[in-house]
Amino acid sequence: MQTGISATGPNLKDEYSRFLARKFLVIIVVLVAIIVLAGLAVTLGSAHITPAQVYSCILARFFPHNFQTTDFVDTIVWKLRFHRVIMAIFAGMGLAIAGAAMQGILKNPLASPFTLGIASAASFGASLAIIMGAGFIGGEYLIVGNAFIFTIIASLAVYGLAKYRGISPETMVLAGIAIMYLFSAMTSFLQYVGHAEQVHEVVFWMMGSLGRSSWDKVGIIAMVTVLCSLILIRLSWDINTLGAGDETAKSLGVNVEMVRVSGMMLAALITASVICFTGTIGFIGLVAPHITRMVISGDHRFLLPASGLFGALLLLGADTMARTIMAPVILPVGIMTAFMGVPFFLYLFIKRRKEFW
Amino acid sequence: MVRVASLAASLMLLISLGICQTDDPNATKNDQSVMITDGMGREVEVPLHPDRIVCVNAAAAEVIYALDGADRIVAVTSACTMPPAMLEREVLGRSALSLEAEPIIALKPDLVIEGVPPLKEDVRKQLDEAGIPVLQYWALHADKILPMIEDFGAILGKK
Repeated sequence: MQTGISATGPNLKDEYSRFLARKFLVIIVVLVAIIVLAGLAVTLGSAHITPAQVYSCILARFFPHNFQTTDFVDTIVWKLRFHRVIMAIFAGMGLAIAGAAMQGILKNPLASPFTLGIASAASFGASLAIIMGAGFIGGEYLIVGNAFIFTIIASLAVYGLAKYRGISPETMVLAGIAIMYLFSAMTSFLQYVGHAEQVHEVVFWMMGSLGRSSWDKVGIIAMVTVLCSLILIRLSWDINTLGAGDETAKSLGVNVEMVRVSGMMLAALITASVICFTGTIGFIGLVAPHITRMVISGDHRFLLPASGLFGALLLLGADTMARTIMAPVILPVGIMTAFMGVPFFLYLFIKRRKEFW
Repeated sequence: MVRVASLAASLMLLISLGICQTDDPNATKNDQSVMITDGMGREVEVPLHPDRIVCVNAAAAEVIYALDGADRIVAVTSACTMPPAMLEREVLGRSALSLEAEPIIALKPDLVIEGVPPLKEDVRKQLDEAGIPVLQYWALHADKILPMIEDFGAILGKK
């Protein structure tokens, strides 16, 4: 940061360790905030059960002799709330890390699953399944499978364009937006020919909700997110170097092509596995990385994990609000993320005038 | 004085026990159930005289009201506007598709009645897991409404 003039010998070392300590502090603070919020979130909801009942119900699973619970509380906590909270954490984490990686790799602050057309591809896949009943995988996973596969198709298309020689990051986002319009138009067409009930279902799918969560889905999302994120974090030095320009990165011995392909594919894989279960949850992938960048600068070694944590916090907070603010009505979380996130985001913009990108 | 009080207390206890006793037949009556084939052809075991119905199907709510069962409905959607007094019940949302499981299960219903559009599949699955019977009717045509009225008559004991 401001090491420039005064940096000499041991001073520089001190400064660097202070610089690291600050980042670790931010990460720890956010981690603690997630744990506290998760603890609060399981106690909130339309069913009136006390925090004590909730916790004794959770503990009863592990120590059945020491704690007692009732079937009703057990259903509410284990079958409805707990997995939803964990789902919010991992889904938020996945979307944010994928967004941060895409922004870093494409060197563009506008890159996110939404602006690259990936989310609208997922919506198209889901609509195809709901309205036409057509898909790659049949049965229970028809909608999920379609959303997943179209997400991958869209990311391949975006990547194919990115690879095309001479395309600048700006053109890249423009191409992504074009893809977004294409898929939106196809979705609109399907809605136009579909029955009212089917259109209804598509609209609710597109709003994005954690109401579809279950322990199985949490398992899948957690596994994909954690695995892909670890690989992305391993690539973070290389992603940092990409920021200095392809030529510089190449001269430093970075396999630019390989980093870009694997990074984009990992980010797409995370996004696909999250939004195929939740529907399109916007905003987290775009904004969590920016908030993080404002707080702890753009070093991807810290940016990726910290974005993940900020994303988890943001989505968990949004979902908890969505469940409680109009109870017993539960709002789709996709609406809530923007309601809560945009004012905060704009506040950060106004407060910190200096360039952060 | 103390003795009188304790006497009164035990008397009250006895009376309340007596009330419980007279309640008992009702309780056993509540344990009875009927097999209903709903509008979608599914066989569902439904308790006789359900006390806590969550009805997210506007037409069904109206029929239950007409069958004198309005007191048994605990929650509706904002589409259930006939009679308007229905909206004094807990309103869970605008459309059945937008509902989620927790608010429904929180009401401890003994019967849920859905229509078209239905509840989301996951919500239905969660209701099944919680052991709550769900009936679905597509009440758009007279030939679909008549069997529904008969079913409700059987459930509410008004046949």
